[in-house]
Order: sequence, then C-alpha cells, then structure tokens
Amino acid sequence: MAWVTPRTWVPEELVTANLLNTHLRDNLNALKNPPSAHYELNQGSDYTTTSGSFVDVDATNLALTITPSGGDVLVHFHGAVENSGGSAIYFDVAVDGTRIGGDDGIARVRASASLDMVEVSFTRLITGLSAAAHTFKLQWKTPANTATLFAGAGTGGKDVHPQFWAREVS
Amino acid sequence: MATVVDLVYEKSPVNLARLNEELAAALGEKFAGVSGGPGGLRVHIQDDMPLALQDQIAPLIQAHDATKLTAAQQAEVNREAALDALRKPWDQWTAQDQADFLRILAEQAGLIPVA
Repeated sequence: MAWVTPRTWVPEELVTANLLNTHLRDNLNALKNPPSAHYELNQGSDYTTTSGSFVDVDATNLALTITPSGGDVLVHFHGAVENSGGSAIYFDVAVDGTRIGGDDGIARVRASASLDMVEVSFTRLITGLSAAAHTFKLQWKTPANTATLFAGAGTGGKDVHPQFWAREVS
Repeated sequence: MATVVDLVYEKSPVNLARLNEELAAALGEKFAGVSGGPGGLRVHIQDDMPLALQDQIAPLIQAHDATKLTAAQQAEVNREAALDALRKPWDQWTAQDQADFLRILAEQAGLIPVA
C-alpha cells in the first residue's frame, strides 16, 4: 500500500473506519514496508572489468527497480575488490541510466591483487525522485589493469557475498 | 557525446587482460574495455564506433587464446619464480641472490623498469 498524504482533521469531524484505514492503517503499513529492493551476490563467477569508462557491473542482478512515492531513496553497496596491478577502482550508481556521481563517481578504492582485496562500501541519499518506477544500477570502472569484484563464487579465501540495496526513506 | 554500449559474447575461458590488449590494439580509442562475470563476456565500445571496426570484434574474440599472457602477466610470473628461488635460509644466499632480490625490490618500487 503506497503512502498517502495524511488527512488534516477538523473539529467534530466524523471519523469513519474508511478514513482510519486509509490514513492510519495504510500509512503505517506503508512506513513498515517502504518500496525496497536488494540483491546478495552468490554467483557462479566473480565480476571482472578492464573498462576505463563506467559500465554496469551486472545489468540484470545489480539493477534494482522500486517505485517510491516521491521521496528520498537510500542506496547502498558493500563488497570486496582488487586490481591486478594495484590501480584504482571507481564506483557509481546510475538512476534510470544517469550516473548520480558524475566525474569519477561516488566511491574509489585502490586494491592490489598482490597484497589483498579491500572493502568498498558506500551509502548514498538520492533526493528529488518522482513517484514512479526508478531503476538503480551499480557501475564501475578502472583506469588500468583488471578489476575484480568478488561475488561469492567460491574463490579461495575471497568467497565473500556483496549486497546492493535501494529503499525509500521519506 | 558518445555513450558506452555493451556487446555480449560467449567465450570461455578468457584472459581478460590479454583480450583487452588485443581489442584495444585493433579498435583504438572507441574501445572502452571488457568485462567478465555471470552474464558472460561483455565488450564495451562507444556507440559511434564504425561498423567496420565493430565487425572485427567477433573474429578477435574467436581467435583469443586464454593461455597466452600479457607482458605484465609474464613479468609477474617471472617475478614470482625469482622470489621462489630465493626461499632458502639466509646463510645460503649468495651475492647474486642478494643482487637479484635488490633488483626485484627496485622494480616494485618503480625505480627501474621491469626486466
């Protein structure tokens, strides 16, 4: 049940079951279950890229669609990455095909495969979204060498499970 | 302004770094990179890449040999082998061993080019 603007009550107004259900029950239910989507990676192989431009990590699984009621949305990602040559790895989120960070995105880590993977984690508040379906896609790039995002694919010592989620918060 | 689009191919196994070098050499600046993962092999190109260049992608992927290494990968293999040869007690290290180790450290620090 979507959020509706709460009714402004007036003195001596007859409070009906219908009004209570609409403005109290349904809105409480909407707050309890806001538009939300998430995906935990448990894939058959890890993700890799050499792309120097931002590209989708996984246009199917790491593409979350929710229909907010016109409020703010939080998006979050955490995972573990490395680069074969120790170069940087950049992350961004595209909302309906447009990256929210622009430039070099919203997160950067530097991880050398010869040392160890590093954690990447970010949470971003996205405002100004309309009351309609919106799709959030995780994107990444690396300026050199090969970047790897470990995806719970059974890689020895690196079998970790990232998560990507989006949820309306207001 | 050109945007990056994905072309999806089926190819396994793939040496992503080697394939990236092969495609970059053939396709030039309109090529953005390659990605691998559960969704298969994706080649990222700018959407204004001429069709004549796009037509070269599939044959290049078909000819790709995942067992061949890039120069950087071969250098890493050589470095690992050189380090393995030095895994012995210090009192067994020769002057040449010490010189070899110093060279590896200097390469890692970027003081000298990788041999």
